[in-house]
Amino acid sequence: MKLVEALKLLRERPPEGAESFRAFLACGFTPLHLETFLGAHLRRRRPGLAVGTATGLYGDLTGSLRRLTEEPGDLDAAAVVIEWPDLDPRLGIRGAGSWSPEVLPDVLRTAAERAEWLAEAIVKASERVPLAVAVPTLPLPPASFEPGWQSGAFDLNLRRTAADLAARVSRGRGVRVISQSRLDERSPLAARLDVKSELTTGFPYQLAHASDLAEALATALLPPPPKKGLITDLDDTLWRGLVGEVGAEGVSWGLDAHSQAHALYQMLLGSLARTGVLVAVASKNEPEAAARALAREDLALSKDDLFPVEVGWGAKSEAVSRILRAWNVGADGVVFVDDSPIELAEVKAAHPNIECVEFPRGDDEGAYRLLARLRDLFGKSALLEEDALRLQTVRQSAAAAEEVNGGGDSSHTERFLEQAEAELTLSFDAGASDARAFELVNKTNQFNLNGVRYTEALWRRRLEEPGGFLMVTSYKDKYGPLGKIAVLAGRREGERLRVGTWVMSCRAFARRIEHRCLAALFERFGAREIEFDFAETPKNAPLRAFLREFAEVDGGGRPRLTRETFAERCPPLYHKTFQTG
Amino acid sequence: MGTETRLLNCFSAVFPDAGEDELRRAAMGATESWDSMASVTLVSLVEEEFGVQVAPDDLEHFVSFRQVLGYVEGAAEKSAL
Repeated sequence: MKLVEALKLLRERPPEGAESFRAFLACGFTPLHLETFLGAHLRRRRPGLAVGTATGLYGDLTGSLRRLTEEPGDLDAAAVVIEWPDLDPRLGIRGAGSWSPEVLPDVLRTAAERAEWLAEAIVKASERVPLAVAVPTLPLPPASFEPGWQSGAFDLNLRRTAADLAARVSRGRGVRVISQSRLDERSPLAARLDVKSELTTGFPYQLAHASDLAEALATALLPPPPKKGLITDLDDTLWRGLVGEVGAEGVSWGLDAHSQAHALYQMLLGSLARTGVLVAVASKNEPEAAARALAREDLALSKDDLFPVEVGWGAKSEAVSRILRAWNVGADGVVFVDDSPIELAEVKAAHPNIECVEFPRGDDEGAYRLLARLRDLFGKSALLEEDALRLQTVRQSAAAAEEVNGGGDSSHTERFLEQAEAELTLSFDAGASDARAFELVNKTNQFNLNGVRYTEALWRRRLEEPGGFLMVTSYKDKYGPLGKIAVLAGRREGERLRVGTWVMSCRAFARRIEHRCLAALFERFGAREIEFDFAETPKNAPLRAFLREFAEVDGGGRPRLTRETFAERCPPLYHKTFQTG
Repeated sequence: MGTETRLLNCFSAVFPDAGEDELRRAAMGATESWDSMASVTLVSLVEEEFGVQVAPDDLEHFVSFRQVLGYVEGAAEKSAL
């Protein structure tokens, strides 16, 4: 992004009623264009937000970090940018200190102490506000006596100090450290420092580097939601060769057969599956031949990681439809990988929101780039317990749905629910720090009261409102645990409860969990009425249908449900429930 | 796009509320929002747009639209020689 574009972007008015997003930039140098670029990249990432930025005082990184810890106010996020002079001013070019060999050990000592302080301050600040952190991005000044082509102890120790600082803060809750290697790809090291600007204004970056760094910070502060599922083709994608022609033993993946790209792709899919990504197969093939190849022991992912496996001769788009139904996931959360542009186009035509990615057959470089792209699409900042359960719960849901629908009559449904041995844990003590609850609120589409998404800071503020409550629901039955699957938040207003957030994972449908959640609210708070901050979204039909069945709409268009109406209309509930908090 | 139009574009990014005529008349002291931050931003925009490096001694030209235009045109002539 050019500076002129950034300034123009910041001038554009945000949409009417846009949610505000206030970001703070903490750095030791003049923030100048970095603040401009940060604001512009945040705007570009979420045009629907009214982005505002603020900075601390020049040269006062310490004060800025203190402010973040002690008075975060209404900040939604902060970017912390550390450069070498923040570890020791002698590592900058604006001072007139000594670079004599005898002072270098002292520089190292000061830098290590300062890094220690910064790490502690950043971790502490991250408890109040989400942070993106960049550790030194500029080249070291020629302070040491070694020639530039040689790394000496001074240089290496400083880099270790910076790396230790990054590793330490990365363990802080809500801290996202900017990837140096990704920044290196975008912004060459030699084109980062602007000596003239640093000397005349105290702003050390060339404009292109300032933009690249700001973009990285904005991405870390407003990351894209990770995709939920990947559907892969088999021939010339999961493996090299056509299994229908060369047989299960003829297809290959590995160095010996010059098909290592396919082995790497399998390894990545295996890794994705273990991080809660759903992985399915859509292939035009003979089912028996494909099954034999998938059963090979040298496959680099477990065939149990693949669900469902759709192999046949029908249109790929139809296979994709069946997979989406089995997963109960919308197309916009899914990536489809195939080596055939025609198949990709056919699927895209039927499912415009699906992300279609071509597997570059015979192109090792391209295949390697694909792996990095898939990591970006599915990457997560942290793994949750529910990620490990996801595939299991999808299989359970599919099995349960089959049982529910098996009889085709309501008595069958009742029998199924009665015999499911369902147990619900309703936690009223989860709080804003519950990462799974926050994730559910921000990624659930179908059973979602109003589609409102929250930044971490806003979510915390909502829950801290007077009378605020949060109920996080976990579920298990004889088919296994689903983990935390529902979040309901709102506030008490006398004898009325006002619900502002209600989401439930699609994998928890058809178990009357939503009914039990409302029953629990009436019981716990002794409420006479629940009012819902409902808003129709393109995807929340399931919740709409539920409210239509139970609630009545008041003059202001807001659904309300009285205790009496709920008692009259609620079907039998068979769950055992436990409450915490 | 001519040099003057490109420079107007730079000035418009710094003084978004000013019309084209006002931008042509813009000068430090006369234009209210022309402060030190505006000067620094203008220098960066001119460097970015025209691919020139403004030396610290040349900052004296960054006091009015006309003077900046003269500086940019002079720099273009020099680089053409």
